[in-house]
Amino acid sequence: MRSNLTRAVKAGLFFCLALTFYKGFMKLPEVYPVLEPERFYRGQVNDGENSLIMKERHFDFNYQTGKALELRLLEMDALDQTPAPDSLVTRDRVERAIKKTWAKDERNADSLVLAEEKLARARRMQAENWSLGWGVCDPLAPGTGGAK
Amino acid sequence: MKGLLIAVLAALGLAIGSFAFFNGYIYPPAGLEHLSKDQYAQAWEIAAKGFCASSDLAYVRPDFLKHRVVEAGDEAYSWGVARCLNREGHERLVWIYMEWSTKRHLWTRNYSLVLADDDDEVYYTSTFPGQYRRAATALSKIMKENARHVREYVSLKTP
Repeated sequence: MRSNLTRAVKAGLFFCLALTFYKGFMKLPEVYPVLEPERFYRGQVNDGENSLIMKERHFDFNYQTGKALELRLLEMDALDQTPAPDSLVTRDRVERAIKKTWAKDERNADSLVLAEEKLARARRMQAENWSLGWGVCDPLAPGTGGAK
Repeated sequence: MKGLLIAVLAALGLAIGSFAFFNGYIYPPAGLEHLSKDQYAQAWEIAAKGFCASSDLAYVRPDFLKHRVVEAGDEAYSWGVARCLNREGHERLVWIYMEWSTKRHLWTRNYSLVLADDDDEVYYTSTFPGQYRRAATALSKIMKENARHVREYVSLKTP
């Protein structure tokens, strides 16, 4: 004989499964922009804006690290310091770190451009009322598939 | 024996829990609760001066301060660099990053540190320092930052 506890656990599991199915279904790119368009586009633009701010911040952090490293190099010159070779902050390591921040600057500037493109894409989707649609996409002409 | 084990685990859990609660909930907005979203400059200056005072640095002036607000949402951010002097009179740049908490509606300190400090990872090369020294440095940085949070919090609460 089944106890009430077993039934309760089974019902709970079924409820969780149904909830998972519902949540996943509502996140489908075919479904979400159609059923909850405002929330979908707002989420896309919000994500784009936050990403852009984050990339700008990451650029600034690395650039300012480079400036701080250059300050330390100037400080070493002014004091005519020669740290022990096994210490962490030596002239060689500071120079290497400065070059590393230059290289990262290039990458971070590129990430900033990518984030700008992402935000522009989100705004364009919002303006066009984009949804994935149910049709099949022509691989040679992406964006042409799917009914509007 | 079993009771002792439970007591030790409970004490450890309490220690880790209060560590996380203090650093993640109590400390970040300390002294900034009264400031609105637009008062980012005041919040940033309080955070910068507090950071310098608790890091044994003399605050000189801000190098720059940025404020970014999201239009499709409640998020807001402000970050900048403060110029400071250490005990030997050498200039140091301090990074202060704040986030507006969308849940609690107040400014929170997020990530602040002395740029290119003596124990910064930016100096690491692939083989130097070794893995043990790296781990020790990382742990000491966490514990130093925690102690600094406590110092800053105590100085805010005892005028």
